[in-house]
Amino acid sequence: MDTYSLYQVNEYIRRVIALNFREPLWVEAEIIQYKLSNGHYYIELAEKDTKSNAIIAQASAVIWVKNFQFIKRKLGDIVFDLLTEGTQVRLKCRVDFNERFGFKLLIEDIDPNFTFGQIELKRQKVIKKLKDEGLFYLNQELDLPPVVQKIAVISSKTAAGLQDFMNQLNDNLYGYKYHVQMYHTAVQGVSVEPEISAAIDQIISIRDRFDAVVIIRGGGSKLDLAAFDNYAIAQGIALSNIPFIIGIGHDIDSTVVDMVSCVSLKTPTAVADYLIERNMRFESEIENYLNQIQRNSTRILNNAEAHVRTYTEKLFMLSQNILNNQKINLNYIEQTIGHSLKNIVSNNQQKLDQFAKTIENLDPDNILKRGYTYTLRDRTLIKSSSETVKDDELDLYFHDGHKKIKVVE
Amino acid sequence: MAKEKLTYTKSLVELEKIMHDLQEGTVSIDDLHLKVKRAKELLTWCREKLRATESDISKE
Repeated sequence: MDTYSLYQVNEYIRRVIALNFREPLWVEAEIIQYKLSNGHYYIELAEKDTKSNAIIAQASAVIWVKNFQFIKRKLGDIVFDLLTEGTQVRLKCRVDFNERFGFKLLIEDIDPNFTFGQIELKRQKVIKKLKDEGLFYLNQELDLPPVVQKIAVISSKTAAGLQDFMNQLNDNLYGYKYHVQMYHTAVQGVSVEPEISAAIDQIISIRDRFDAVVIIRGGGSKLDLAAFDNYAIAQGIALSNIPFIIGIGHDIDSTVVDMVSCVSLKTPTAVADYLIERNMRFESEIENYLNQIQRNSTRILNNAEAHVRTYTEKLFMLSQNILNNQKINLNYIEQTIGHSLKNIVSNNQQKLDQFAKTIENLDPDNILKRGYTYTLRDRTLIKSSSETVKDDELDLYFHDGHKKIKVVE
Repeated sequence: MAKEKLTYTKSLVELEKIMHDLQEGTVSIDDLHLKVKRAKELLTWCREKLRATESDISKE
């Protein structure tokens, strides 16, 4: 068995590699570490087992400053988002081996579409898992209390959006007070998951102190936001039983955290506005109720008054009716009595007239006027011819005087 | 008297109930002013609480 110097071995390896990797090739891997030094990016790449997440391959890579400038010109600022820990990347590399420095991938280009695709893929997987487990809609189904005033805020100490949020909230026109408890966490990079998850756990342990939880951060790139396409955070939110309101600064794409939360808004300022407007709506709603209650009670009182008035009028009319009826009765009685009286009177009158006639007929004067006479002797009425004898002196009475007469035979 | 702690939600529910009772005509005229008074109390409580600082609340 031959013995070689280290240089000889390394030189041999270099030649083998150079011979086999003449052309650059595309490599898919995850950035697990990176370091900037003199404009050069030193990167640790790895591939993890999809099930166990254990690293199954690892390599050092570098972007020399000259290559970096080329890539940056081509991709713009996205390059900074791509070159972060935890990002899945597709890199155009030359495989290089140096006798002194060993194996290295020399990165010449980056394919951003691969990373975006990976993010989307991972995001879809997270969404599906949350839905399969029945977690996706849990937080959305919670009722935000009518007033949100006690708030747990999860944000980075240095997030630009945090100050905007606090200013907007505290300087509201209506003088509403908000009671904010801060939970400082990372809002980008690999620390997002453990730190936000821990904050959620703490908040849940004192859940009753809060009306809602707000997660905010200033604007970020699409890749930054990928940290919020995170299963563990989404699961924490779903199981928290406290409404989450999200304002993590994005324009179009919403993250999984946005999707599973009770309320999702674009910016921290929008969250503050939402909280103010909501309380304002609550206040005007209860004012409205009071107005309606006052109006209704006035209406009820007026109605009652009107009822009393109607009853009074009815009562008056009723008594008026009774009086009128009585009057009619009296009139009737009066008329009836009048009739009877008249009848009685006229009947009697007729009888009287009859009497008068009879009496008149019986009057001796009237009889005398008709030519009859009567005869007296010594003032005694002679009623029969046999009572007189010859030469009797008698008094013969006419209606207008009397004569002395003598019986001749 | 041990009074149940008021909340925004409870205030809202109570106001809704008073409104409903008035509309349904289940409130006696004698109790009307009590209901209106209660509604005013609830509104005042909510308004004050919306503007109360944390220290105000801990004094409760």
